[in-house]
Amino acid sequence: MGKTAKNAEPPGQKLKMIKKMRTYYLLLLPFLAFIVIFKYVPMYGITLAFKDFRILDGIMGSPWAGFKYFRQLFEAASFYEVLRNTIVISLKKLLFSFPAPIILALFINEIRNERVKKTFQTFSYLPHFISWIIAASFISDILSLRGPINTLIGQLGGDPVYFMAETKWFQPILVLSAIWKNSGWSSIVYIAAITGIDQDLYEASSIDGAKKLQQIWFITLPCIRTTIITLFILEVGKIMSAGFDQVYNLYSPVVYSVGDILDTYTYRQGIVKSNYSYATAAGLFQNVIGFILVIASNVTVKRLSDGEEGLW
Amino acid sequence: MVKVRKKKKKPQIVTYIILLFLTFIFVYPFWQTVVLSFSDKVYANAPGFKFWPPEISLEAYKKVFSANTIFIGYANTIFRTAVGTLITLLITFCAAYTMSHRELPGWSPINFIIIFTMFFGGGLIPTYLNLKSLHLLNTRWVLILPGAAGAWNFIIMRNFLSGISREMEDAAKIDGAGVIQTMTHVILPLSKSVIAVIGLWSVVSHWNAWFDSMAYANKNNLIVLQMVVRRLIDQGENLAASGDAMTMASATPTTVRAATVVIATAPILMGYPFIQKYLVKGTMVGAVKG
Repeated sequence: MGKTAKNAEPPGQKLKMIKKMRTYYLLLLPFLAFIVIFKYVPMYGITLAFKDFRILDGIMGSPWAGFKYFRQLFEAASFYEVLRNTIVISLKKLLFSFPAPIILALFINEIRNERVKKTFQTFSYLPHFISWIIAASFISDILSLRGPINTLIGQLGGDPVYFMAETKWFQPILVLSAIWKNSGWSSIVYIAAITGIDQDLYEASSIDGAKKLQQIWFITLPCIRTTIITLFILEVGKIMSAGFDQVYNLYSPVVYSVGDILDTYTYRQGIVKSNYSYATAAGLFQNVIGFILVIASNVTVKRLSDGEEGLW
Repeated sequence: MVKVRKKKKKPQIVTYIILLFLTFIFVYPFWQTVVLSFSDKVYANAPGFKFWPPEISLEAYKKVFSANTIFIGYANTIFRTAVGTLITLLITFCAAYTMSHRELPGWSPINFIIIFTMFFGGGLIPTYLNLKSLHLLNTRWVLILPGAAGAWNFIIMRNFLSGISREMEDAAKIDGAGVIQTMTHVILPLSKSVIAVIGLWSVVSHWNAWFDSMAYANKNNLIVLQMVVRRLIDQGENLAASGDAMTMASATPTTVRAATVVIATAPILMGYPFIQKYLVKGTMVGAVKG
């Protein structure tokens, strides 16, 4: 590899090289064209956040409006509610949904019978392969007034709860359904990490009389620490997106006060109400903060792992 | 290996109790929906867990198949899945093949241009207006083209192709094969596994996609399966919210929604046990090194 000399390369040589490799560029072209048309052109559309959009004039022809829409955004009480919901839901998921696949992986690792283990893993992956629309259909059946949960509550002497329409239940439902849907699939990475642990460590510790829980605490968890930390930091980087698909399919106007997040807010403001400039401003705010967080988290991961991990 | 002392293996009673409990939690929602889809209205509205209908009723399925919507949804979903996956594989493979040659002049900036899209985007409204100005709104291509090129698939594919020994390629070139011939006759046969991984991911995500259908192609003749289900859920909620007894009675019954869910989900879930190992492998490739 690297037949070309890196330095002191006459410009003619480089041109010759490009010419020689033109078929390669041709092969690259369609993919790059898609990227430019569908990913970069919209980036130009961000200017909309600083313009008064007029449909007939298009993005380019619309007059500049300065920070008008950002002022509107930062003056709207609804925006702060939505921002708070986004962060609160993300933090709750970090706190409760993030550890779930780790615990599940530890549990799966304890199953000795290989066939039982494989079958159980297959079951645990199932929810990952359905859309949040289907999942929402499941959830509303399970939590409906005549559903199994309310029946159990009734048998225990309680009053039925209309889970989907109560503000105090909405965020717990988000956290629990995220655990149900994602923990099986997310456990794969942890199981792989656990499989890589040197078995001698366990043998040695059991000679020393270590109990199962002690082994998990003193051997397994420390050995998969890097994986846990890496995934945690990457997850922190995604705090600004609390899960559009999930929230959009589970929420309704009665729970907007605790369930409306930046993504759903932008969608309703922009696509439903056609406040294009305002919604673009909201989206840009989210994207910029999100971008900074993702980059920061990746840099952190890279630094912790000496350049071994991270997304690029 | 020296087995020091065969540890008395306690029967894993607690483990198996937890196992049964968790299996129930993972599987019951699916099972309940299947049971509901084969139930009559009376059993569907009875309270409690549903393990088996007293009588198998095909009413719900008859009703679903009596309307056109489900067939239109199926056709549109199959179209976007098949054509979308083909296009994704084609352009991603070609680009990844090129970019597996690091000596290519301009490699770094091109690579950056592609990867950057993973971290920053125009956002919903600029994307929407872009699709509008391209006259893609309310066409079936809006479900296929905007997502066809993705940085993540590209990285996985490129890394895989970079791992293929360069000697094979050089040998082919010495034998007089051109760039394209080398790609199709030498590299392609060696890349079956990564193509399977990315192809299957694309199939699953196209099958489950709904947002683009709702936001960009919200016309009856373009509806995809997922949106067929979502509309039924919406109807049910609106009617329940209205609380009007008359309209409640004419609401789409739970059984019909359940049958629609089963019809929409069955292909993916039935194929899934067979493709599981590829998908798991794909996750690992992605997780190990981006």
